Amino acid sequence: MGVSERRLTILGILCEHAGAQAAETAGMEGLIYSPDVRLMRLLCAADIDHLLILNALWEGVDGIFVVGCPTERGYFRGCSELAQRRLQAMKDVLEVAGLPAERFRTLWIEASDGKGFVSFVNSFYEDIKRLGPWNGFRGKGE
Amino acid sequence: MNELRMILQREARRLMEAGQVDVVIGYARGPYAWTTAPFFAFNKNDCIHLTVSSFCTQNLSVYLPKVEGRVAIIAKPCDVRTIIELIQDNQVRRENVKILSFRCPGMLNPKVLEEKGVSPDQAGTVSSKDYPEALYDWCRVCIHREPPDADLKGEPRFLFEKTDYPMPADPTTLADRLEKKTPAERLNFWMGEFARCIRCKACMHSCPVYYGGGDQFDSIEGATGENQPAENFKIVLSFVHSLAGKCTECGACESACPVRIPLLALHIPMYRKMQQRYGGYEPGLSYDEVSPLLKAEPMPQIVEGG
Repeated sequence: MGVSERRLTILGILCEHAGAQAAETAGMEGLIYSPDVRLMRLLCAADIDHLLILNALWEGVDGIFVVGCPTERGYFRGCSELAQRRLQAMKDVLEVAGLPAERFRTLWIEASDGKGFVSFVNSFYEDIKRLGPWNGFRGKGE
Repeated sequence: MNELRMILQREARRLMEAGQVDVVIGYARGPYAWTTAPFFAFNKNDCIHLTVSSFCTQNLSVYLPKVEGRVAIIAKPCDVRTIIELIQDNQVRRENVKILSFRCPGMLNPKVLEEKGVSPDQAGTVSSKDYPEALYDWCRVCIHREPPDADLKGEPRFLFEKTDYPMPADPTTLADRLEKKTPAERLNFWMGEFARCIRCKACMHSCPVYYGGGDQFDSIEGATGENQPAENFKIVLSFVHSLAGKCTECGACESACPVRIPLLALHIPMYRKMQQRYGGYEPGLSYDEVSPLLKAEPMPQIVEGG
């Protein structure tokens, strides 16, 4: 990595009951992923405000991923299905608008699956690295 | 359109005289050439001002949750679909609303008509029968020309008259043309469009099924800020995402826009994507079917990654 090249920033939004637990499990198992991944935890993946994702993209976050409960085994009733539908619509909006929808990805995982979490994060990180940095809209205004 | 206006006026007057409604919400002639304005008729003599033409682009069902009492409303088929959405969301009670609807010939763009040399005096009579190429983008792709629900029982002949309204020879819309472009070109196009946006939020206020109202965006850096086009685009994308599975393509947001940003080129592809993914779901066609985004069932096919 050169001096002029900035480090990637990847935002991980974790649901408290599956995503964050999976990250904890990964930590307990001693699995390693890139320090450029910053994690935040929310109560539920279905509760994600679309402005959270849009703001992150606008501020120049290179990749965003959401980790939530597995299908039909959500902590809250139907939360995983609702989240999948909402976030898929979000992905469609990004596609329609011409924004990089490939920088936004979702994972639906068991709380005990630390390995799955880390392999997902690593493969996402490699993909974002290949895509290169995304600068958002900072200073692009007229 | 003249005959239709007479029928709707007569029906509105009849409902008023019978005391079945307290107010009739409809269109009247607007202050400028070609335009119509929302009109509230509180007594039977007011009903003479009610009109309907090929330029009734507002969606009057936006007033329904704010009006108390029994209401009769003149609504295009797409507006009727938003009323059904409102009833599903418990914003409006069906027994309080009388829907006066009609078989819609489609709304016309005055700009195209003026280019063809049509004078504004003909605004009351001109319809898509004569100028199908002047149809708005969302009326070009519309296949629901008949209202899914209506109370205009007196005149079924006109309501379901099988008039053949011709479609334009070239049905492609701006949405189709944008879809063929690369994402970067699309983003460039939208940035150019949203450089004009003055953040009046008329698109959000004119939409009956968008409950946010746009006031939550007041705290975002003002319309004159450094990143103006991008910030404007962001709040409109939030608007578009909120309407996924609810938008009926009535075109009220685009026609309310004072700087004419083609918002339906964002809504139409979303509508198609929802339709493809959720088994041809179209909002507002029945009282039982809820939006797929509110259903806690597994996705038809789960798209992991990508």
